[in-house]
Amino acid sequence: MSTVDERPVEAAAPPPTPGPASGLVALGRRAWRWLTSMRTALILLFLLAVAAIPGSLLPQRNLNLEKVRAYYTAHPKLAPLLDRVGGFDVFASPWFSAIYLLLFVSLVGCLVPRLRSHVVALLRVPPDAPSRLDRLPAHADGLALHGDPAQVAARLRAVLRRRRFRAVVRAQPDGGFTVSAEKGYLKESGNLLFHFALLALLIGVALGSWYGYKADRVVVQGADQGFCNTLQQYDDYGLGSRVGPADLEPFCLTLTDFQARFLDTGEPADYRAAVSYAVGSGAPADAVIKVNDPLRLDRARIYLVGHGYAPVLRYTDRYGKTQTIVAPFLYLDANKTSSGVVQFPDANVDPVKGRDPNDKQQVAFAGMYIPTSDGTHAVSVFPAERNPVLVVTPYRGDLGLDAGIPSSVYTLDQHQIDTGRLREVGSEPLRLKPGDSARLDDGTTVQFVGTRPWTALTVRYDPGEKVVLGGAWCLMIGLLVSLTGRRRRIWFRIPASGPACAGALSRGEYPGFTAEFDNLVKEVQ
Amino acid sequence: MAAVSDQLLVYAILGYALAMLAYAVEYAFGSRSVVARVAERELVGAGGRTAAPGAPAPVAPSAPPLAAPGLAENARIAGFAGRGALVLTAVGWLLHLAAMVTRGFAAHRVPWGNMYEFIMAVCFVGATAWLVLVTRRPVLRPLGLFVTLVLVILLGVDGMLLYTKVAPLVPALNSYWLKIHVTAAITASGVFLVGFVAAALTLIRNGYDDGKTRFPYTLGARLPVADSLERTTFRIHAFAFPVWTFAIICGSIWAEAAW
Repeated sequence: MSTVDERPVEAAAPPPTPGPASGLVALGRRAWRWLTSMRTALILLFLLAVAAIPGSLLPQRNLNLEKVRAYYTAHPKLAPLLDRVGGFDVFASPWFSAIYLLLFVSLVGCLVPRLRSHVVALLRVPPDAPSRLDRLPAHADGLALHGDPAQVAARLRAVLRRRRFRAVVRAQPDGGFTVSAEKGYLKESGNLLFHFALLALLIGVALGSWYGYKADRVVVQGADQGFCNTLQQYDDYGLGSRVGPADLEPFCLTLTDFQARFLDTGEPADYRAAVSYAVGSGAPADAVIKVNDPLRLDRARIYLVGHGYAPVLRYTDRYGKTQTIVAPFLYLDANKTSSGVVQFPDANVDPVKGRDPNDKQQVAFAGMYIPTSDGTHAVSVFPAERNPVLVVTPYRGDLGLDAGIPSSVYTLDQHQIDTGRLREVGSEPLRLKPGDSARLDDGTTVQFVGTRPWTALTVRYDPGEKVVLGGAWCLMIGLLVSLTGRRRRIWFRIPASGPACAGALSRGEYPGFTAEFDNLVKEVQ
Repeated sequence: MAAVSDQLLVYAILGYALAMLAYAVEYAFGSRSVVARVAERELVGAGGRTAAPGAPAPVAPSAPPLAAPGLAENARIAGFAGRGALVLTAVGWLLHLAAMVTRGFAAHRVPWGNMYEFIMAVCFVGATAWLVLVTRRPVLRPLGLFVTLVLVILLGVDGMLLYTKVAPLVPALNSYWLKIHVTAAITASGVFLVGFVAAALTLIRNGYDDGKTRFPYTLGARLPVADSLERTTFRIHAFAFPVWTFAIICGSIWAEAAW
């Protein structure tokens, strides 16, 4: 931000009437003047940047609730303190809003008078020549300008106007003339454009945080595993303060295919997720989502942000009933060593007597999935499925799912295991390759059918983006114009008799200024 | 090809280090008067540009007469070392360029796909900006010592701590925005690198003119006058800042497509 080049001196305020209120008025006026000064705006802008740092260092509730919970577990003493000052909700905290609003007010309070004075400057004719042109940084005396002073002045004005100066001729009381010319108003125009663009940027960001939302969802491949854009179906979401559950774009989506390509080093080369989706009651359509290439709907975008494997287990219970469950496993490392649990809450229900609530015989298989096993270690050596192995421990008993408490779908309820309501079956974990079956101690069987890929999708909507983009480009244009524009004034004084003289004044740095002036003086003679 | 690139980078660093040494020789032998007088000549030669109203008047260098034979001899060494430094910088720059080109061929893509390559490219732009600057304004040659110092440190840290084997782009970076956003960011950062040196030295020179005699300010004795330095600093930043703004805007547009 450069300084204001020119600003008419504000008329001195009328002396305040003495009284108890005058002190307050003076204080208010001083505060307003401080708030709207360029220095304050810069400090606030800097503060805004500093205040955003904790927002990127600490986990944020509206972005990732899981991470906030993990932070609470890791720092049980610090976390509540941080929470009290809004550390996990930085961008909605009162102090962040205070900086934001102050900056906004400061900018508006500073810009409106500047805009007004710039408009005045644009409408006003260049001021008359100063009495002593030789005091100016550039001046020339004894110019060879011959002829009638009025005609000379008119000619000078024509030359200056051809050079896109704003020029005006004034008759002087002594019979002479002065020509005043000014150029480079674009500098202040650019400057103002820059600052108003900054305002637009702030408004755009605010719009996005009010009316936008973001939600995450793990989607397993298959028509039976699709989801719809409603809050209940998300693993995690953050809504803007003006967004209600009904405002989400109504679409449903299923993952039809997922392909990941890896280099021999295990580095990912390419991901592509083929999806089928339908907006509202419209016809279903197909699309491919890739990294850097989201699916764009009218009021939502769907990004591919991760992928993993979901083992499929088929369990045949004591009553001969067979169920198939697919459960996404969370990957733990870059080679997709994954951990998770496959739960069969409806297993072993007597078809005649129904479930005995005091003796639940629910079954779960918890453990690791290793896409490429080296045969000995429980760690994957490659992210694709070259030698897949599922290593799971069977559990039987009460899974604790009926209590209505939300729990992780990737781990068993440790409380149920600790209290003995959920017990390990067998002495060592099962090691299953795709297609393998195993028999448990009660005669039931489990088969590892195979895996299906899953993708982590992020759904995002930000209506402020276009405002931000437009603001950013205007800001860029304003910046360029204000950096390259040069405001300067040139005067000629043509007396009734005697040699004419010229002088020029540049505002701000302009290295070519003297050369331009010399050229001009040479041209007119 | 990757190994060739690594070798070339080492030689480039060596070139810059030798250039730094030569700049240091010039710095040590070039008496204060020589530097200041060149600065003065440059100021006059530029058409008697006028200081903005309110700006501090340029400090008149107290030039002692160049009569003493020892001084003349020193000036000769300084001039020789200075020209040598420029040649060495240019050689380092060529090696640097070759290192980047071979790296690009080895990876089959633009050679700025990870932090190691990014820093390398930033330094390359910095070196380019410096060469352009010093060609256009030879008076600024004493700054070369500090520019090459920054280059050698950055490239050394880059090669030692951030070295990454040649690999294709990770999917997240595989976008044409890499060419637009990162190129702009590199250009701006590289020019900022030279701008940083100019700005830091302006402060040092200002402090020196204010009569400060502690360590960093003593360096100011042999720098161009503060006014000239400040103008250069402004110009460099006036160029790099819009480029940087452009880079950030492009980054945001890329982010819209990425997550």
